[in-house]
Amino acid sequence: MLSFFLRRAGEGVIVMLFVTIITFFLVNLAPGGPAVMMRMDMTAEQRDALARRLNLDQPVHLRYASWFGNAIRGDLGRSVNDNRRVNEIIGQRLPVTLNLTFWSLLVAVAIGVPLGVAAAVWRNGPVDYAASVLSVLGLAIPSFWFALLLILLFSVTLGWLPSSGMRSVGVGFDVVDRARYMVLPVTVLATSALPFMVRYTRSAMLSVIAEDYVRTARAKGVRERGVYFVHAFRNALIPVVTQVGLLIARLIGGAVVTETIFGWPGMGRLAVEASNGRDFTVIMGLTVVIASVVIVTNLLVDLAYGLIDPRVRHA
Amino acid sequence: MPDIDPALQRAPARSGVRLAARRFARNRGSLVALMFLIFVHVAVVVGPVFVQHAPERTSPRNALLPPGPVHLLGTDELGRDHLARLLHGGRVTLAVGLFSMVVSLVVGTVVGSVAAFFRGTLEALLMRFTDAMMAIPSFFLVLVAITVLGNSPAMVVLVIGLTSWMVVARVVYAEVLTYRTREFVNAAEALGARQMRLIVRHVLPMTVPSLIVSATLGVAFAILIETAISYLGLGIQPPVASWGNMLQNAQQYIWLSPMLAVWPGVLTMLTVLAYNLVGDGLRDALDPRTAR
Amino acid sequence: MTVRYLRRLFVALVASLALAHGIAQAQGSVTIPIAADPTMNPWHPNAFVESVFSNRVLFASLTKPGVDLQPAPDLARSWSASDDGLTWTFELRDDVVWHDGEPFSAEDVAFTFNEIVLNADLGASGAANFRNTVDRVEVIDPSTVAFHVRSPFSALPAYLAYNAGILPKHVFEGEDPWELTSFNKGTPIGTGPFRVAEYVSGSYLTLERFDDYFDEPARLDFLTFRVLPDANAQLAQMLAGDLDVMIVDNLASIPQIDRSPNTLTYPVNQVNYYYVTVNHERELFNDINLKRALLHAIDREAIIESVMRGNGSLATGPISPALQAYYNPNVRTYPYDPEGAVELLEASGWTRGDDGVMVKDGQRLAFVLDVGRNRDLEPISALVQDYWRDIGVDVSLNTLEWNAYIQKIVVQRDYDATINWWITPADPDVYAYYHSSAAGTGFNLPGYRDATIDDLLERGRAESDVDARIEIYRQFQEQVAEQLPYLFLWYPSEIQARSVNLQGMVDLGLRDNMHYVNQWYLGD
Repeated sequence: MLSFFLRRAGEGVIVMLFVTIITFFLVNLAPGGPAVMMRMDMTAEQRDALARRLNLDQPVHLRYASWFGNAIRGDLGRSVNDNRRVNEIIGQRLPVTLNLTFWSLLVAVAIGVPLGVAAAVWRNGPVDYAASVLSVLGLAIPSFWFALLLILLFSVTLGWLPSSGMRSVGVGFDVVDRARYMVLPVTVLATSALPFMVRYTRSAMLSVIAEDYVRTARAKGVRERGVYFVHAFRNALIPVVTQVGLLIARLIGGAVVTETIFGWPGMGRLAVEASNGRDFTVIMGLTVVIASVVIVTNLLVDLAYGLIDPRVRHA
Repeated sequence: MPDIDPALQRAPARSGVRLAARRFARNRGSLVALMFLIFVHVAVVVGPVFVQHAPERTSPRNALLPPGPVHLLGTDELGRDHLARLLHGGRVTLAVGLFSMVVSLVVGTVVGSVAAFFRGTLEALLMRFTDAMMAIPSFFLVLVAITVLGNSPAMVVLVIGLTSWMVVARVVYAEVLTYRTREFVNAAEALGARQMRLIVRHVLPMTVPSLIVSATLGVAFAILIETAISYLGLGIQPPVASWGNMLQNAQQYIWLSPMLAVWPGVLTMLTVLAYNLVGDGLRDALDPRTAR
Repeated sequence: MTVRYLRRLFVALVASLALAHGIAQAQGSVTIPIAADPTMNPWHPNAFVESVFSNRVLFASLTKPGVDLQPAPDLARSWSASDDGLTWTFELRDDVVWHDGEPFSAEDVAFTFNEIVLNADLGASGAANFRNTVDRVEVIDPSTVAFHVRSPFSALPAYLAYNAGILPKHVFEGEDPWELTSFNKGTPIGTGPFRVAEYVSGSYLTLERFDDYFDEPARLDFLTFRVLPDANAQLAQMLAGDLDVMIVDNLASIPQIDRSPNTLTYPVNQVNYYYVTVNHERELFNDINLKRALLHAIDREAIIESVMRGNGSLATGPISPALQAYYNPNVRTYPYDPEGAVELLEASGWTRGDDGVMVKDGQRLAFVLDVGRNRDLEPISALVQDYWRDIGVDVSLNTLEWNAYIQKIVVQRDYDATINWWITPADPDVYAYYHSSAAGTGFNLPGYRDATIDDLLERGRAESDVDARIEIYRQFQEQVAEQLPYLFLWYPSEIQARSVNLQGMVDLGLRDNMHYVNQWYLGD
């Protein structure tokens, strides 16, 4: 197990190298430069001066090399546009996104897995239909549209919840205040993840229920409920765990729209800002951090296979 | 359109196409959804012939007209016929959804099954590549690729497809990995079955239920991705209509002409919903393991 | 180490509680939305339009736009030009202190200009006009500075009123001004009526009243800028009462804002015009008949009435009616006349081809209209495309992300035609946008060169007598309307949404109103 872990960690480093190279060159291939130089009210002379200051007159591979040299020492450089340290910017934004993603995932799993199991157990019953209607609606509604409807209803019309931001201006930490600001964004993001949890859990449960060994177990006289929960659920967990892993990357992606609409200063919105502003260093920093999160998650998912399904052996 | 993947067509051949069709038809919801999908697809393909207005023809003095005899669903903020835009936008959106799904399903299935079956170097290489692709947040890829390569509909399809196959690949990989260790595969291997044949004949069919789920979710996902990137201004570019950019654009007019937002929103929702219901029906109808 | 860290944490906690307490008690607090994080340095290249609001509050400048848009005193009490026009002398106030308590003096003005604005290596934002005209700034005595200009520049006081805040020498001396992040993105020191109380990147910037402000102290206690990138979120917060004043970009929401009992909309004139620029480096566009036909073909009144909901007026040239006496309405105009447009094209030898597109010498009249993804440029371009198609011009749209657009249009000048807008200082001196010396590298995007226009611009810049200037710029407008270096579309009005209890605003655009924020108050 340890050697497996070390090997996968080593592979993770190589993946990271690829990721940074691909992103760096793609970003630099894009037409237009950093926003600081791309202003209508700027002359060619000003633009050249800024390009020199930002070393943009250097070849791309040299800039990558110098970026990499610093990054390997943990220094992600400074924002091309506003000169703040990228580590500091991401340090401010990452907790926001993790907060949003964590609660959304928690809500999605807490509702989705039991609902999926119930839908499979009482297949074609009212629970199944309710679950499928719910999950299908959740899947079908464009998230920014859903967000807008929620804002219109709960903020503008009813005035119950704030329409954007993370906390009241000037108010220190206050659980109720934070929670009020969190309800709508978490609802939107969890809604985008919930259907996946429900459907994969249900689908995996159904597949397993039909398997021979469950039939065998049933034939051996294991009571109905025991069959489902001990045998079936354990085996159905593999695709479900895969989903949790995949969902993290997807939720971070979904956070882009959610954070933008609700004005949360997280990584997703930072990504939009950095891309629009062609802030090379911030984009690279984001790539490294998000890629790390995803790589570590995948690693854990792979490990979880081995723990849950003993048939999968790691060579 | 239920023709999700050629691989899926083989499954009913074994349990009987007619049996599957009968089972599918028994599911009332899926049947209605299928009819809705057929209707929508026919409407967007044939419908524009019956609408006199060009979807991109502006007429500022006729902006934001309510529905009437000339413009059946009224006009948008530039005086463009809303019905014509809905139909043309539907063409673009449905095509984006379908083709992106096909791209991601094909790439994902090939990568996932090959990786799971040929263990060793090839597996490591492919799955590391999958990890690398997954580790780059797809919205970056979408953004950068679209800014570098342009955002024509074909490019949006390719970008969505090529940034969403990893999910399919990992699911297929996980499934094949599980089945690969099964006795019957070992037995076939022992009997000297060729590997490609083994994958196609014995292992892939077992992944069909997962693939159907992936495919239906894939179309839905692609359509929703198109609306999401439209929200960020990166989707199909106006004046070409898509449901995503119509929806995005209509946000501004929600106070004045809410129907501008309702139509593309409802059509998007219903279409995505219908794909899911049809997928569910197909899954139940095709899956040999759920046959009783 | 840990103890010190904990202590610091404790201090921060207490401070934030105290601040929360203070704000909770404040009666006078106004919140304004901005679309992105501000950069609190008016000359920083990263100080985009969202930074203008707070920078005009934090940093006083020598002059500010008066309610009549003429330059009015701010840090400078008075100013005058020497007889040869080569030296401008500004008498400064001697009662000004920086937010950190240091006294303000002429040294700060000289430092800001000599070391930052005029420093070619820095590429300061908004510096181009000064770098082309001002040679250096000299300290005469602690409350007098002299601007030495290369040639007479009568618009200097007006240009100094436009995003030209003065920075503190005692903070910036010896520092790289763009890398002083503790200032630009932290706690800036200015001389304005408010200073920074709390800045949370990505969320909000709260300013508190600065009691030692040199002019009438602010009536509000706090001013908060909320970072809200989504226009619909801004609107929702405005209607929910979380915002007090904002610029309404989405004109379709005006009726909704007016219907709400707590909010009202106000239209305000501004110095801003929309235009089509065609690339004069391309032979095709050096035909005046073609340019006139293109402008005649667009039903601008229809666009203003419908899409802009009446909030704008037809543009006749680069000098806005907001500049009053300088504005000349009696120039050649281009009313909507598609038939006339076709006749103009025919006069230049174009004939309708089989597909309805004009043809000359086997060449179809076809070109690309590049569209930048910003504000309302997309819908406007779609409308213009259709109007041009009607007269037989085969126009295709090419929509570009904003940075790519700037790269293509402004940096490479690689385009046929595009639509955009200019917001300029409130002065008729538009030298930088029309003079042939600005073609290719400066703001003369169309690359238009005309000796008569050059001559008028040079004379207008040198003339200090107001009546003579008016005459020169009226002639300039006539000439420009004849030659159409740009195809002028309209002067948009700015629509402000204000909470009904926000009082004391002056009748100017919201950005210019920031110079008068000390007069704002809340009341019924």
